[in-house]
Amino acid sequence: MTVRIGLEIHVYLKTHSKLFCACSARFLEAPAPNTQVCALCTGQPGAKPMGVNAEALRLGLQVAQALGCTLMPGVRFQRKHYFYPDSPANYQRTATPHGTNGSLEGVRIRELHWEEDPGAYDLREGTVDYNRAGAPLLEIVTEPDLRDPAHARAFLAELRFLLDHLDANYEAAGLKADVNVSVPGGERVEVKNVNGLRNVETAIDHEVARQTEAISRGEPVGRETRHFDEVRGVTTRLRTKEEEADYRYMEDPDLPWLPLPPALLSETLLPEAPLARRTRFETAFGLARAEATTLLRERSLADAFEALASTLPPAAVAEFLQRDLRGELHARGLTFTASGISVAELTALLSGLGARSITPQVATRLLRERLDFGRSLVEGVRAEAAEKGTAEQAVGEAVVAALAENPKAVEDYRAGKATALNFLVGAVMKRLKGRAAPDVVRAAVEAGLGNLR
Amino acid sequence: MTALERVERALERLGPDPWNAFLHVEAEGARTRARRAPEGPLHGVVVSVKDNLAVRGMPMTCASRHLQGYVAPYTATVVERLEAAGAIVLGKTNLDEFACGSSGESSAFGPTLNPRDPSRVAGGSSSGAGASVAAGVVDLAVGSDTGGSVRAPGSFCGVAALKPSPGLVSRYGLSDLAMSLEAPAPMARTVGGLTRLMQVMAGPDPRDSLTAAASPFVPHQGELSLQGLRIGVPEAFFEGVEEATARPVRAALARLEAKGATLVGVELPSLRFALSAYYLLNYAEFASAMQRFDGTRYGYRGEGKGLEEAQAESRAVFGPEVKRRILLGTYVTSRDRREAWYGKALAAKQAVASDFQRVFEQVDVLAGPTMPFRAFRLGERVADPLAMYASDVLTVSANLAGVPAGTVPLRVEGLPVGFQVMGPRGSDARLLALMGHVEALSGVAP
Amino acid sequence: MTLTPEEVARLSRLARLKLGEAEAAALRSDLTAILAKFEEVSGAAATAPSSPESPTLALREDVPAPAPPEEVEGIVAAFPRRKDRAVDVPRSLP
Repeated sequence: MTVRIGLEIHVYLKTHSKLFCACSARFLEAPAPNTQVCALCTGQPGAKPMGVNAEALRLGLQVAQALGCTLMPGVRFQRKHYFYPDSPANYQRTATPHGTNGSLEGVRIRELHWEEDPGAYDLREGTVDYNRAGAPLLEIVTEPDLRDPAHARAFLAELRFLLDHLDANYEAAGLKADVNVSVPGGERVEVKNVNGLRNVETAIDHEVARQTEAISRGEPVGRETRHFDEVRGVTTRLRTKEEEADYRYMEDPDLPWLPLPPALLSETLLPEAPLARRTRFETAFGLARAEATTLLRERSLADAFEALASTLPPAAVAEFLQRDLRGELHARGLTFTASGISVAELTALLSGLGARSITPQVATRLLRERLDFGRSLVEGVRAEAAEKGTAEQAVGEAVVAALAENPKAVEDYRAGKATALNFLVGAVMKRLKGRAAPDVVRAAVEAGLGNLR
Repeated sequence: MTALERVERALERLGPDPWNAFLHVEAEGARTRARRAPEGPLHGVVVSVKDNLAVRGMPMTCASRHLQGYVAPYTATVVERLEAAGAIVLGKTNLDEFACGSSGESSAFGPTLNPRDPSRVAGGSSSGAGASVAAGVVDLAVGSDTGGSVRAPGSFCGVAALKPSPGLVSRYGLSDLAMSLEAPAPMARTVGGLTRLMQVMAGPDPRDSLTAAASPFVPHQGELSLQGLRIGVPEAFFEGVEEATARPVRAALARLEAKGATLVGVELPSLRFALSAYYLLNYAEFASAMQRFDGTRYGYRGEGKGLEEAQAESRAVFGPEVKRRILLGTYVTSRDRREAWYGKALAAKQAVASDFQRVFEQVDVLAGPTMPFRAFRLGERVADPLAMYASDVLTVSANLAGVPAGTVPLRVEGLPVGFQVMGPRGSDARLLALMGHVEALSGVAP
Repeated sequence: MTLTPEEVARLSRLARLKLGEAEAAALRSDLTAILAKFEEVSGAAATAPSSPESPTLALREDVPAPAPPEEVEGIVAAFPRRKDRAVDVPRSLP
């Protein structure tokens, strides 16, 4: 017998509008309560659901694919009835699963399905705001295969990776989960509505510890429902109801069967699922898992990497994108897509670095100019290389002239006088009016002296 | 006649509304609209709208104390279309509370009286709509039909009505009774009026997912030939029907036959379970639809000591028929009962639909009386729910089968009698054309 | 089959309907009679699904379209009680 942890995760899908109406789904941007609402999402008599949000559908299918699920031929929305002030019609529209039998990080995924979010009920104030009512949620239900808090952390990190890669999550809203924990000797305890991955991890930690301790003290752990207190990081008992809720599930008469035919799947599913692609990055390009994960977090960045790695050394490309590029983007709060930087631009930059026609410092400067002022990297690299070339040419000419004008110093150098080199470097610097790096000049003079032989 | 004159005439005909047909009359609003009614096929036409359809800025009570004072914040698609076509909404008509009824007697604001005989019911649930047309206040009315709710008042009050094919008319804005069975439905003095309303109201609406697949309504072009038209007449349609209704209906059938139609005896064994299946599904969907009414967002809010108490109190103001249906619906969909009741009702519905499909391979239309009897007296059935439900025996099958059905008022002495025709799904235009023939041959003189 | 008073009570709780004693008794008798009559539906033979024209749920492109201000304000105006724009609800009892 082992600790068993299962999760029911609700992911806020990243869409512009709600699941069944055209109100904005960006409820955290609403100017005030009950401003992003309509007759449907406030349950007015006679209101009816519109067609289902196509983007919510796409994202839900892509997540199912990413989790390796078997996809169902279609889904049917049902009504789940219960009375609660945050529910506009006192029933929730929730679909039958569209994906089943998946897995992630050693955890079986039982099923995925779409459902609508209820409104926001502020228990302290006793008020309800329906701005988020009807927002599209994706519920992911796992089997109780999580073994311990560390396993849960790893699982959630992988889930986060998939959601990032698919850009499926309305980030500001994040996700929430019901956490089910049982320890050997005890029964299953449900902790409801835990907000955000960090709190989920904390709740799991706390619950496993709490239950284990109770068992060791000989106290029974029976089936119950608990609430997670975010502030104190502990779970507390919720009022237990004598009757189990009867939700009176029925197929929603307003919403007919939603087919998920092959044609829809082929235009929706990714040509390569995220985990498979990450494995390929590791094997084909010799990347470490962490590197591959970072690159794949943003799909457009991963696409750029692949394009670049077909002509440039993958390791160098990977390092630059991960460290330098992402560093600059992150500092500016930009995504790669939002930056608009093209593969052509990155090719120019990386080629320049490889050929040493620009230095890493120059590359960084060019990148910043690109992000802050929009100066094309292709142009920037060309200009820098030209300047460098011109500079090199000037140095070369100055060296030739200086050596020709100072035969005595050349003789001294040949005779073994080290100071002669300094003298010649000084002469070149004087010719160049100081507009050259001393070490570059030194190397050029040495090369020039060597060539005289 | 100008639009304004039409409005004034309607208001004059209405007077103090001795029939209790209207729950709300928008006199000033109608006059204002009349002055700037848009050009369109219904320019200046005065219409009434059943009070379970939303019209922004007007009260929407669904004839319930629970919604007294509620003003709709949006407008039903069908009403939007009517107004865009130039129609003027005179007001909201009375109905059985939340459309639960067949006589009009379940309104919280008093029953609507039959303009043909005020000691009798107008028929329900679109009682006010039927009366508003029969009394000559309006020529066109919008009601709704879940199991006969425009056809019953059509038959009892002597006006024409059509229950359209599912998906043809948007339900957006219609307060739900049984979502899978109902739609807004036209009522009119003449069959031509029904067509006028359908032309404007019908058609896909992105706001009602069930209208996406329906073909658009196009009125029947040219004459419908009666020559060789196969009219199925199940004997079951005459079972338990009073003689005073059966006789004029058979006479009307005979006139159609004389014009070349063929009357065919057909059997529909599934009809035996139609009434049960209908009501069980009605209860199930209604209980679900009524969950939203708890006084939180709108409607009567109870003053209970806590949330649950307040909600229960808020819902305590529903009338007895509404409560019966909510409890029955809760029962038949509860976890342990669902298979045996709701599941079986769905199966029976399926059987009716299959039966109708089969029959429409043998015949073009089905015909018979709309109601088993003429308008009964107020108070005669209202105390016995099963007696009330029995009124619907001839109308519910069309809703279960998902086919269009219309009623034409026959030319009779005394109380009105309705002649009902049903056709295959999607044949609304042709059905109206046939109804036109019935009207010409046997109908009430215009 | 007769509905017991407990069943009626349970249904009324599930449906959040507050019933008076006399009302509950009357409903119990009505409901029993109605269910007895409609029980016959279990005799209906199951048939294969018939409708070839069953509609399927349409997809809607993810384009936001706010409701008109009159609608939003009408919704808020209909709240029986509110704190600014939020609905004020009675507290649940502990």
